[in-house]
Amino acid sequence: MSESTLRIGLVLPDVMGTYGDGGNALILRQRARMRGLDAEIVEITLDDEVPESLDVYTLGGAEDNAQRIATRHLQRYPGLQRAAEAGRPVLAICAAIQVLGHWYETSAGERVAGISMLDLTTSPREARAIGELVTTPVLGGLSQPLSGFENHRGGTLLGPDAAPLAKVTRGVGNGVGVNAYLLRGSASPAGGAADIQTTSRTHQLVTTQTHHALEGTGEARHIVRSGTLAEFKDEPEHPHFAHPVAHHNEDLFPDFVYEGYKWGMVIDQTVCTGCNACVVACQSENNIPIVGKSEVARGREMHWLRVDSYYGGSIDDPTFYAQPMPCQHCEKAPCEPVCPVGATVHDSEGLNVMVYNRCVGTRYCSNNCPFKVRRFNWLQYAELSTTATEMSLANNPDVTVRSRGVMEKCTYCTQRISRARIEAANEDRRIADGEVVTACQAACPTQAIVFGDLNDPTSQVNRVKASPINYTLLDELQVFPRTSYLAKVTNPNPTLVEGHS
Amino acid sequence: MSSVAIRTGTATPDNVYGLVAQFGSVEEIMAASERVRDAGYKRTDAYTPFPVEGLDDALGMQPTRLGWVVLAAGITGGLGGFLLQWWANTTYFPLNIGGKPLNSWPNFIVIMYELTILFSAFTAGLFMIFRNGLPRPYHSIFNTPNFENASRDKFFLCIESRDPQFDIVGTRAFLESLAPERISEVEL
Amino acid sequence: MAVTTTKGPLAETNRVIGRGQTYGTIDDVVLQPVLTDVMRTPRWWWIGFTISLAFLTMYLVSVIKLITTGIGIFGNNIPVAWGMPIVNFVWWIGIGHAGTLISAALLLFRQPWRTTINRFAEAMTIFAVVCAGLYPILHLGRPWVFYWLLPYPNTYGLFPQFRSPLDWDLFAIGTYASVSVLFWFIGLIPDMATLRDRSKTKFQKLLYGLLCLGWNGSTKAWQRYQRAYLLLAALSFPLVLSVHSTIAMDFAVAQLPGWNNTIMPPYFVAGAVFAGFAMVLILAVPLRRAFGLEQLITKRHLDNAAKLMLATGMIVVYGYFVEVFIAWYSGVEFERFMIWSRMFGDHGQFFWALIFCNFVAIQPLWFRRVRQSPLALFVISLIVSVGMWLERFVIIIVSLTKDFLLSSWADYISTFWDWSLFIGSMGLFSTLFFLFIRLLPAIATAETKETAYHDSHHGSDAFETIRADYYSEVRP
Repeated sequence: MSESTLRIGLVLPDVMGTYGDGGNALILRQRARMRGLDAEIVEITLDDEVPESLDVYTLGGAEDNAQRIATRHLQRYPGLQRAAEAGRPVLAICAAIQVLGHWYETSAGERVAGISMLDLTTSPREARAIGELVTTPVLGGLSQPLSGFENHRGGTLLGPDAAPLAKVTRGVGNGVGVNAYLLRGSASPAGGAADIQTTSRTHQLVTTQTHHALEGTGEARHIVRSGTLAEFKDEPEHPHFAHPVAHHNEDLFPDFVYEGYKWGMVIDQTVCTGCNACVVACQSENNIPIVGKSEVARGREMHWLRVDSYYGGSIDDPTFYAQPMPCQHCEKAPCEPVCPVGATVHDSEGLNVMVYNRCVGTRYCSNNCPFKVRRFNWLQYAELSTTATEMSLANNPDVTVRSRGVMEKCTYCTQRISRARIEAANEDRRIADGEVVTACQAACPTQAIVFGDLNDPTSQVNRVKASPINYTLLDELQVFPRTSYLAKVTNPNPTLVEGHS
Repeated sequence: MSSVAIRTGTATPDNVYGLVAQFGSVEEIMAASERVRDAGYKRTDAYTPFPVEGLDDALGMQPTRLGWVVLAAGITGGLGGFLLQWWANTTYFPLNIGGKPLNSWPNFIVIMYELTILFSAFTAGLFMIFRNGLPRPYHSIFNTPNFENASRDKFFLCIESRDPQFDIVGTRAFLESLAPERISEVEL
Repeated sequence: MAVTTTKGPLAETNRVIGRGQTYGTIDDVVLQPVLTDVMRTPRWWWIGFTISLAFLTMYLVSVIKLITTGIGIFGNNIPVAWGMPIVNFVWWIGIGHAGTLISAALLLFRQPWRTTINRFAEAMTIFAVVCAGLYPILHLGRPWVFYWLLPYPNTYGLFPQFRSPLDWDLFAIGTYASVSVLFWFIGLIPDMATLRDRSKTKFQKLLYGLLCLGWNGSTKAWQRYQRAYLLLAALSFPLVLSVHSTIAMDFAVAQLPGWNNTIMPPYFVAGAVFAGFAMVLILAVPLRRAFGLEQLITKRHLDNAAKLMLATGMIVVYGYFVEVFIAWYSGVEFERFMIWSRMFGDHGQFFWALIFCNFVAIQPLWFRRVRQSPLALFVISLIVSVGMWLERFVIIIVSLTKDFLLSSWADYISTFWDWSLFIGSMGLFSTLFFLFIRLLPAIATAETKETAYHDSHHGSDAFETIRADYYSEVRP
């Protein structure tokens, strides 16, 4: 045996050779020879101990019982494990992988121990994965796509000390997420040193919203109004930062009068932290569908309530503003007159009502909404089922599930208003202040959202709306939203302010 | 006038629709028509491949009432359109749509306008068709020899036998004096 | 001026009708393609028809995919809730306007040159309205209930919401489509009679005999016919103005910057006539060559159509200028930003492309040589068609990408299905048009004969001009 001979160990071809994986050793030997390397195959059968001094090892796939036999043999003669620890490459195909792992589960549900050479476990999947396989290697040093054929029922779960060879681009792979264990494993749970390089590949990152600069055109729109406590103290009656432009309200036609209940909402931007708890609460309360990455990439997220994020100042030293944006329930809603079938109307309590079963889906209402709070079911996002399914049990039974082709939006939790109204009517009284709590209001940790009856003179919402820093968005459009905002009042430490450029 | 029947083709004095003269140009039929009108014939008609201006006057025809009917239809359409929208929005199912007044008549104008045109146009077209007796699978005039060229380049003038002055011999002689290309007796 | 020798039907002429045309020759040249035997249909027709059917199939496949999967197959999102389907809808409807203008408006203005081009232009209108009219149904989230826009009492007695411009669209387009068909059909009646009389086979005779309703050319019938035709023209002219104005109201009534503009109705109508005449030229140039109609659809017609295209194109350019001026003059931040962004923002390239197509490309039409060159007109008309599509794109989609709140800004990316439906709709149009030119006379023969009569007998100043040298005969 000369030093330049490549010795290829073909491990257990007598039991782990069902699928002809011994061919890998043959190919390896041939390619070595084509490169001028002497190569030979050393077959390690059940009669042999497993040597630890070979250069390369290959193992193939086998059926259940053969795997058990192979496992016992490899446990008895741990030459393969020692060779691997010494850095010898091992190519394990199919069932050989699960034998090298901690354990694997057979289709009968029985857990069989492996030799724990690799930090992984294997369990059977719901369906057999058969087909062409194309992958992009994530292992450094490999650049070409790797292709092959897969035929397996088992799915392998990697532990922190294992890393995948490649990411499946065509075939049945995990497909989702990235192996973060490359950066942090059990050896370095806080992350180790890393080198960042650009590759020629691209990956699509998707978000519902980026941050929008309030400079330039943003500032002229007076979306987020903010001032300091000192400025507020200077002009306590009518601070200019909350009311930069005067607007006249003149109308040719008389307004509708709202006797009875008159619902309204205020959102205090000073205490809002932008935590998004309101968004989650709204989603759960109103059965808002999840649309997935590709639809969000298209701009079709379904959040009835969203938190708009803006920044002021320069990009190097930004000030962050969060502004929750539900439907504003405009008294002169621009979305209503443009619907050709009258699927969105105004009820007697001031709610802008969306009638799902009348909507034909022209989407003119969305075009005319200046706040873009309306969301459309472009595809069948909600689960279509007339019987109970797992997902349907998570739905709120008080709220309709919308089908494809209809528009939806924040309803001021009309189902909660309705319930309170029924209870109050049963008890022959008026709805009391605080009895109707919208989902977003309930979830807000800083109680930034206040909701109530504007016709109730003692209601909290009336008290808050009386604030001099109360303003409505886009008031020059004269849509008279029922949802208003309190301008953000900051009280910055003077030394910090000076430190700002 | 002699009562001897002059037979041409299969037309007999009992089943003759009329006498038809064929001309080759607009001028000829115009001149002939005027003379036919002046001679006192009332139940006449001309058949031309395209509308000839003034030919209806030359034959002494009454103007058509089509315009007035269309006007009435248009007014019906317009008013009806307004009434429908007004009634639906103020009486039948009033709704608060964006704070707009219930009788938003400026918004109703476009539909009124379109309905006016729709009613007028269809009245004009359908009234013309039906008043002209169409669709009509059969008309005696098609029995005229060479009538296929009435749609091509020939002009026909017909004096119907129903005309009180009609006389199979006398009228024929009169027609011959107009110098047509040919004269035919056309059966019913 | 100089007399020319007309070397047969391929000679070009500047007259409204070629010299020497008789009623008989008009009939022959127009009806011959219609009356030929199926087996003798020219090969170019089969090729064109087959290609059209292929695109029509693409259309049908797209429609089925659309209805079964949902309008999510398009590139729309929030805020760009209206995307290519609406752009294509407005584009198609605009194209239809030239046909009605030629039929109705030119009749009211006593222009005799309309008679040889009005038939196929009206056919173009009807087919364009078909292509357009399907879009408002197909773009709906729930197209199977589109009929809720019709004025009838629905559940609980709910009528449509009449204040909405989309409901106005239903009435406008519905009226336009039906009145155009009526007008076209009535115009066809005398020609059907001619076809009946010229038919060679029994089937043809039966078919055209039924279609002409038994028309016999009676003067009393012509009298009512002329009155009805004139009334229909008088009604169609304000109709065509109102239809595209109503479409423009879809945008003008909204408050979106870029849409909310009182220039919209006249601007859109001018644009529609502009795009329509471009399509008329795109159809006329090959049609007259294919059927040898140069003596009937003459250089005079091309010249006049080109002049109208230039005039309406300049009105459209004026509209662009007004939009910019008003946005600045209003002092409203949203409007100013929108117009700046339209020209210099992310989608600025579309704006400048459209300025090239709709303004720069039509400037050669100031020159008579260009106006009388079929090839030049064909090319310019194609450019104008693209330009008008770009204009709809810029107005509709680009305005939506950046509206009031910065947080709503998003882009629109068209998908395969957006394009397949659009190109497929062109297949629908061309299929219908190929059927039309094969089965019906492409020129209104009865009206043309009337024109020929006036031409040869009256020599009125509709035909001669003070500048006789302008309309001199062209040596072939």
